Amino acid sequence: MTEKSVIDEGRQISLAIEMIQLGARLQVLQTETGISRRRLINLYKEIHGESPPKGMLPFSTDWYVTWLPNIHSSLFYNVYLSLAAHPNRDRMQSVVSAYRLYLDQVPLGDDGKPVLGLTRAWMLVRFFESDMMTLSTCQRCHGSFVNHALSLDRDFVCGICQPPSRAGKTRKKKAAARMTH
Amino acid sequence: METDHLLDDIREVNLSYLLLMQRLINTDREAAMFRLKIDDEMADLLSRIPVSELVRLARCNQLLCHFSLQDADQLHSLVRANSDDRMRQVHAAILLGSNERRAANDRRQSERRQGERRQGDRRIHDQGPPDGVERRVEERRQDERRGAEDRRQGPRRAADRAEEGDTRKEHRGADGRHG
Repeated sequence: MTEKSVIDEGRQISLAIEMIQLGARLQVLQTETGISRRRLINLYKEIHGESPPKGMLPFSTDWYVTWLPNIHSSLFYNVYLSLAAHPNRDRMQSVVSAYRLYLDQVPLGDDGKPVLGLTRAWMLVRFFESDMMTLSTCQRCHGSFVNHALSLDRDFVCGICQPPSRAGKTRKKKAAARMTH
Repeated sequence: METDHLLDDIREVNLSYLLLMQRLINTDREAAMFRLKIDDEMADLLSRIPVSELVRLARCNQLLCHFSLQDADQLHSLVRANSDDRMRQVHAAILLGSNERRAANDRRQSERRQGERRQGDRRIHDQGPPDGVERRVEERRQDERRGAEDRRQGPRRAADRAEEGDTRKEHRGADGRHG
């Protein structure tokens, strides 16, 4: 760490900027780049105009198997895997490009934010790397979906082929439907 | 008459497909490779072919592009679905993504095992992260299985063990995972 390459640092900073713009939390940046915390905080403030949020990252794998998040994270992870399969490509760069491709394909959620944030997407990749999650193949549509590792998935059917009875029917949507009628 | 029109249409689709490919690759190579499901080599080549060549290439009575859904099941689950449009779009994206990855995995596997007999369960191939991890998990599983087997067998004669070892080696060879 005594020798610092300026070019390398520049590259890392541009990656950090890209990630902050996509909504990465500070912990992600600290893990994935070699930039000091102080500089990262300054970067964050410059881009978002406010201090980075404090507190722990979302650490539960359960979130990824609930209905809508599961669909979105499966989409993201499928994209990520096909990007990461190419040799000589930086891992974090793959996460960022996969996330951009994911954003292209999905509509924004009700609150104007995507269902899967970059931080959560990154956590998902890490969960896979530590064997906490696996991909299960849906028996009806043969798509790959995110699932807990070591779960019994012989008869797995995905949440789109067989949605849970009240999936996607939120109170907000009902109210909106009533307003339009 | 009718077929002439159809053939013209096919050629037209071919040309616009080739041109679209080239445009996609030249704007964002990485994204294009994902969207078009092509590899590095193909992307390089496609971006360099002049339009006149593309026109010549498009003059063919069969389509150059290929239907990406794997089987009738997939098509059925997309068409029949009673979910809304947005969900259908996401579903299609997931299916295409996983098909592509599975195809790429298969290609890589077959390259790796060229000449070897291919057995073993397909389930392993299309699941889990690429490369190292799944191999590691599989090896670990095999070790555990072997350990459990040994425990179950209890103390036995040395000759028996040697024999067993031989058959196991054969078994592993047939599996083709440790090639």
